[in-house]
Amino acid sequence: MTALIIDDEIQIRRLLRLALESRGYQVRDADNGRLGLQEAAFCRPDVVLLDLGLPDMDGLEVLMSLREWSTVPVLILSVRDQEHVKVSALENGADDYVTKPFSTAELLARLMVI
Amino acid sequence: MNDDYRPDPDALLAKVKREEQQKMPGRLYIILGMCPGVGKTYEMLLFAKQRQLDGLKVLLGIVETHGREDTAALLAGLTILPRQQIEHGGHTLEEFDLDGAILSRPDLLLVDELAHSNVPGSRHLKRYQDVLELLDSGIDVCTTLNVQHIESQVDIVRQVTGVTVRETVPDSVLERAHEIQLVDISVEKLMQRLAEGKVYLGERAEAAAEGFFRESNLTALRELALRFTAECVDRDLEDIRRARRIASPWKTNARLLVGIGPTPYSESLIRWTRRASGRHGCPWLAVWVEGISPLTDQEQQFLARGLGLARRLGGEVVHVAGDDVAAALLVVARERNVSQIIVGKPSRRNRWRPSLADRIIAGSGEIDVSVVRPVLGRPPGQSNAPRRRSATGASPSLREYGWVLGIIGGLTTLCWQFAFLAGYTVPALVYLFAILLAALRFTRGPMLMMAAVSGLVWDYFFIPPRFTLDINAPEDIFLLGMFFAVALCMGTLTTRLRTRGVAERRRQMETDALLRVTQSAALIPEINQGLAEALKIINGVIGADTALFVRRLDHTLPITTHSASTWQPPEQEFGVAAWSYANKQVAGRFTDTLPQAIGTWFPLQTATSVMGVVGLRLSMERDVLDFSRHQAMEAFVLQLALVLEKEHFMHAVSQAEVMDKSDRLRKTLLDSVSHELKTPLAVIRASIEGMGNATDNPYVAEIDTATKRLQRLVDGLLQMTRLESQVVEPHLEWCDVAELAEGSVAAVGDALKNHSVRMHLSQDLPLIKTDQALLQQVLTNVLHNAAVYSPEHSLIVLTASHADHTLHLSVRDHGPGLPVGDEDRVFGKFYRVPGAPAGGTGLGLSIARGFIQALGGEITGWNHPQGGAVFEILLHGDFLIHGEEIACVSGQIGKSGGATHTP
Repeated sequence: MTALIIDDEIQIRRLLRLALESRGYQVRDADNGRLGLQEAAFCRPDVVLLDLGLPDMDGLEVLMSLREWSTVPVLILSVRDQEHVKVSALENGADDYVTKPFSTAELLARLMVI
Repeated sequence: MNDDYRPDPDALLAKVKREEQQKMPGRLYIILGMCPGVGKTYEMLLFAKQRQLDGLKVLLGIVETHGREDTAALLAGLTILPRQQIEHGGHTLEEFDLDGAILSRPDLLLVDELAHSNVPGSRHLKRYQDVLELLDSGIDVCTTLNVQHIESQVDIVRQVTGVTVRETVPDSVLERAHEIQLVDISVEKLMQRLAEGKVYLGERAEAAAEGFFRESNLTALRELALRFTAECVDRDLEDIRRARRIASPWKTNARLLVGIGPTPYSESLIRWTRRASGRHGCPWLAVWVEGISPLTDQEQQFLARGLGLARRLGGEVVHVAGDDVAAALLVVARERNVSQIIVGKPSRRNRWRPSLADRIIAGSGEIDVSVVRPVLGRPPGQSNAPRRRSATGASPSLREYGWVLGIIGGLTTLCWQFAFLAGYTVPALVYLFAILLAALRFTRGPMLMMAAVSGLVWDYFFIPPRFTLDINAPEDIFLLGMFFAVALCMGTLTTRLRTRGVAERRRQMETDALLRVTQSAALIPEINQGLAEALKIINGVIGADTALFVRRLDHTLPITTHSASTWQPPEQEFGVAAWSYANKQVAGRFTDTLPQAIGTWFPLQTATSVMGVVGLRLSMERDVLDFSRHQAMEAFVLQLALVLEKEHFMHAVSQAEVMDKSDRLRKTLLDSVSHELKTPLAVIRASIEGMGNATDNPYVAEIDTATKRLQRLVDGLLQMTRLESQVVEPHLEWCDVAELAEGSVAAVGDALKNHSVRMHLSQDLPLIKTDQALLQQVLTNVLHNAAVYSPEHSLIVLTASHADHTLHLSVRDHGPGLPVGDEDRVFGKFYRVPGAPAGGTGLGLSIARGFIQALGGEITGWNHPQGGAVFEILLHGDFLIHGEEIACVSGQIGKSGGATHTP
């Protein structure tokens, strides 16, 4: 299983890598949207963890570009907790939405489902 | 669409305005009759009875039954307002109690005899002014009126009956009427009632009966009343037609102009124009062309009365200056798109000098001209204003005559000495030169005398044969004739030039003063100093002392004058000032409202608001505030008002800027800080979890607690930011109150771990349509607050019940309670009760209040009499009661869901 983490916060990436690798995932990461999309095309991950607040483009745009050619499960991981943000992310093809701060156990459980 | 059939926007606007006037303030019902004795009062009481049966609160303000039994019988069952007693000149007089009526706030007030003049010492001169004030304060008024008291009908009444009516009601008052009801009986029947003694005629009954109640008079008055009512009905019909775009037969862009001057004829011309404009349903202007010669006292009075009448009748008063009256009127007419000019018919034709009417007709072009035969108005002198000796009065003139004679004597002596040198024609030239010089100083009368006397003296002393008035040579007769002609022309022309110069200078001075007022008030940076400077200039120009009241921020008048004032009015003047401020009208001396006052009070009115009032006390006791000074004062007052308004706006803007800046800064801070804090928090929390079982390690447990607290603070800040930027939009859905209460307790989590929570949820709690997340957050915050501020192991009681479409949630703790007297402050942002234990953010309750207000509910806190604080949440909304018909519930949800409104 390969997981791709697209997040600009290095701590979050490291934390997620720790958690995911301990569960047997292969982890790739990218710190902005453009690199993330390249990485997604290159390594064909089984699941994508996507932050919405990226430095170069909005997470939603990344999601939409991704959905143009891929059906890979995407889990949004964001500090934005307003309902309309969640709704628009899910409408644009996200499979799940977890708000930061998150519990690792919950995240892993959700990953298992999708 | 055909343009001709489009409703005229002006007409629609006027209709809307009229309706607004009728809607917002009270409604005016007028019972109109042709003369006393037709049964108006009776009709009014019937109307009142009907209203009382409809459940309205009816009050008899003032009703005269004049001893008629059937009318008096109707009084039974109606509440009567006691009359007020007014002391005047040692007598106690009874009058309608205006303040009493306003205070008791009836739905409908009866006020008999609209045209009545109030006894001296009342607030207003006329009863109709009382009625207007009542209407403005929102009280419906029903009143009675005879047709001969209507201002625009006075001339006709005089022509028909020969009686001059003194108590009149302006037509503008009648235009405010919501309903005019005519009481009509046949003349025969009225004569019969008169014979039976059923008509009250006052003390001089017989004289009145003979003079007024003749059959011919009554028939004419009846026709007047019928026609007036018909015109009103016509106007209403026209309104309906215009609103419905029914083509009306009259010109929609008509506008009348009447030229008025300082003559007794102006009043009748104004009334004629008012009637014509009523028939056409169009606006009208009254134009006064100020000439070059100063007005005498009497002319001043005629003019003031004419202009006052025009204003009262609803005309727009325009004041222009010009030498040629006809040309000036035509210029105004063209500028204002006037369709018809009304001028008076000259009393006799002058072959050589075309009349004003002739000249206007000659230059009128496409404008219609109506030449109306004016009727002589009331003679002046009834005005109670003290008379003023004008600048052209007798005593300075007498001195001028003396001077003139002295000059002629001196010149004659001088010429006599040199007569042997120069012959007899030279003295003539000397006299002419003297006349020319004298005309620069003296007025018209002395000049004419100087021309005549010097001619005679020249003839007597110089033209041969000397010492007789005889003349031998024919050329000398010609010379003398020419001398007279030249002397007269020169005298007149020079005098006119001089008076024009004087008028010009006066106007210049006023303009200059206005400019200086504006400059000093607007340019002097310190506003109070500027106002003082401006008032000083006004005092100089008007010849008065001024008192200024500037309104406070809460739109009330202060009790002390502004520091710039030069007059400290006595206490009884404050009432006049307050009235003027509240009613936006000039009041006090020289006006119709409270004329006994010492000062004249002008409201500082701008287009949007009244900034205060200025009181004016003329320096000389016997002085009269004449028209031109009144005009000048109004201009000054407008400037002052504008300056004050500008100052007010500038103050408001600078305050708003400061607020805006600090607000933006705070929002940015909150927004970025809270967002930036979230990420490290997420990392910390996830890391703690990653460390495995946290309770094993006390250090980790501490980190966990601290993180959660930080988390709550950040969440609170974010919610606060959202509330303040007003992006909280409730998403309404049906939710279960019991579930919500349990959810909230669970959400508070660890903080409640050491408290016992008891829930009293009533059994029949309904579903409520609200935003579940927001309401739960409110309850959570309140519970958390209770947990933090009450000792461990104490009891927290949560109750939920509902009644009358309101949900009551209350949370009671057993802590120290709220600070006494300051209970509401706990809802303030970042407010923390002094001496409270650490752990709170000072945001919870403030967010709770913000959210509950967004949901349309309210939250209050108080101390329970047996200790501890109680917070009560009230939420109004749609409920769905759990009933037996569970099956219907889903259908009801759909139905009521569709019909509900978002709070």
